[in-house]
Formats: sequence, C-alpha cells, structure tokens
Amino acid sequence: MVARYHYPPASAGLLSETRVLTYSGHMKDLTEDSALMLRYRDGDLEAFEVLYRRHNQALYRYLLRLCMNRDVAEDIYQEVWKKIISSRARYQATAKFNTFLYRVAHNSFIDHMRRNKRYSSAGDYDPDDSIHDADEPDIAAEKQLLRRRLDAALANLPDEQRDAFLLHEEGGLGLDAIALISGVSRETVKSRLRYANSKLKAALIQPVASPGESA
Amino acid sequence: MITGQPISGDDEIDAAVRGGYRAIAREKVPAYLDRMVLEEAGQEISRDRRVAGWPRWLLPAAFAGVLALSLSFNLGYNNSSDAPAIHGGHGVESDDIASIPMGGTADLETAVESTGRRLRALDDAVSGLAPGNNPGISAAGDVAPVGRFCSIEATTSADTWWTCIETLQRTGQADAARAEIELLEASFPESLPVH
Repeated sequence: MVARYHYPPASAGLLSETRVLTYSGHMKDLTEDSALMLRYRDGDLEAFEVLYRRHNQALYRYLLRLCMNRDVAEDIYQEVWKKIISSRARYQATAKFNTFLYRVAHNSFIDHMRRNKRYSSAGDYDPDDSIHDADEPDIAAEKQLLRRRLDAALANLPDEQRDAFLLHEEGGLGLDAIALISGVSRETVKSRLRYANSKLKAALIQPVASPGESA
Repeated sequence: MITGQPISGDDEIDAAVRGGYRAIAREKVPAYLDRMVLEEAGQEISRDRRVAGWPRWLLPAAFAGVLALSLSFNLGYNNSSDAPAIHGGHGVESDDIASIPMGGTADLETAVESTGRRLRALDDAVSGLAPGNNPGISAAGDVAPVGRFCSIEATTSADTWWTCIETLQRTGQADAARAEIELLEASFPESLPVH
C-alpha cells in the first residue's frame, strides 16, 4: 500500500547516472486524489463522488476500530466528511489527499475524546456482526476464532498504537505521514507500530484449539 | 496461515498480521451515511453556485442605490417642507383648486376668474423656486414664471399682458403667444382687447 520509488536499472545508460524518480501506481492514485479534490473545489460533484468512493470504506473502518463504538465512529465519520467538504474552497494540493483526510479524522477523534473526557470503548461495537463467510463450517469457525482474538488484541492496544496501526493499514500511510498526523517523531511511530505488530502477532499465533476459547 | 516475515524499511507490520487484519476488517459504510455525505457535497456546490451567480458589483451597487434613494427622499422631503417659507407664505394649497365652484353657467365666469388668480399665485410660487430660468419677455425687466413667456408683472393686467403677447407675435414666437392668449382669456375673459 505504501508508495515506493522505482529507479531505472544501472544498465540504462546515461539516465542511470541521474537517478530518475518515478512513482508506483499507488502514488499516482494519491496525486489523482488531489486532482479530484481540486476539481470538486471548482464545482465538479462527480469528482468528489469518485474521491469519496475511494476512501469511504477505509476511513469508516479506521474510525470504527479506533473508537470501538459504532455510533461514535459514525458521528465522527460524518463530521470528517463535512470538514473535508467545507474546506474545499481553501484546499491546496500541498500534501497527499489521504494524509489530509486522515489528519482531519485523527483530529476529530481527539476532539471527540476531549469533549467527552473519555469515550466509552465498550460501546455497541460487535466486530462479528458484519462478517459473513461462505467457508466450510470448520474453517469458518477457525477464522471466526482468529478474528475474535485479533479484534480483542486490537481493542486492547493503547490508543496511540492502535491509531498508528490503523493509519498504516487503513490509511495506507507511511511513517512520515503518521508522524505528521500524530505530532510525534518518525522513530516514535516506528516503535508504536512494532509494539502493535508484536501484540497482534502474539494473538494470532496462540493455539487454535484451546478448549476455553471454543466454548 | 501465519508465516511471519521480517519487518524491513517502512513496513513495520508483519504480513501475517496484515493478512489477519484484512480478514476481519470487512465492515462497510452504511448506505445512509454515503447518502448523507454525497448530499452534503452536492448542497455545498449548489450553495456556491448560487453565490457565484451574483455579479461582484451587485452588493456595492445595491448599497449605493439604497443610499442614493435615501438621500433623494430626504432632500425631496426637506424641499417640499421648505417651499412655503421661500415664498413668504404664498404657497398654493391644493384645497384652493378643489374649492373652485363647478356649478352652472353663472358660476363659470367666477370660476375662471378665480382660476386666473390662483394660476398667478402658482406662478409666484414656481418663480420663487427657479429664478432666472425663463426665456420670457418682460416690459418691466421682471422674471417670467417657469414655462411661461410673459413676466408676472406683465400678467397683472389684461393690457400689459396683451402688450407682452404682441411682442411675442412680433418676435415670431407664435406658439408662445397662443399659449399666453389662452391664459389671458382664462384670467381676464371680460377684458379681451378687440383686434
């Protein structure tokens, strides 16, 4: 998901001496996102719809798992898009659109936490209620168990680690962008992601057939 | 299922963790939220188009128009209230015109005479408003009322008025002479000179 730079091979002759920076498809998409936002700024509603459809699901999941409360997540989701819409006249394509989008989302979540002192993460969020598999019963049960473990592990992560993980996975953001959004150093983000990764991995590698879990 | 890969570079997340997360992260945005956001985006565009449709000069022009109307109304009001003072109380009341008797033939002469007097009073009033704005002919060097050709002094008697009319005729102002004759007839019907 993260944008990667590609350099021409050394055998490319004179060009190889001056390293030419090109972008992967993902980076191109991000550039196009900004172009779509600029088109929307100029009154093109279809451009906004394309942009919205690109980011709506990931942003929703980011907020849902960050808040761990469906109602709160949906309120913040609306708030984020309202802010994006109302900021269109001032929008400048100085940063990647998804960095802008997730920065607004992150800040809206922080604002919500401040307003409500401490949000209740034990809300009505049930991660299983939207999962419908067509697998064999045994496999489906195993997957279900893994999902529960991963979801529980994700929910138990400190907010900062969960935020960093979700920005990385749902926002497709790199260390620098997450650092910018979170207002911390790149090394701090790296550390948070490593902690999050090790805790989630530990949850996944537990033995599947533990009697207590299947009950 | 869990393979585990070393973390390198910018990618801090193990592939197995990512795969596991992808398996659980399948929630979809409720349709009502999609609708709300897209409607909001459309309304924002419509709002902007309405505002953009107005010319930039409209607001200052509207303001200037209101200001000009207010000023002209105010000035007009002041002028109308000052009018009697300019003429030393000789303003013509609308009631004077309304009081003209409109009875039978016997009253007609009286009515005409009365109208003549009132016209002269009106002339006095109007001449006070626009002094010097007349091309009239005046034997006494007086000023004629606006829209008239003979001066107020010349129209105080039938003889002097007729003298003025003759002067108009001699100087080729036939239309002006005819207009003054009509007024003379209305004001002094009993003393028209015989020609």
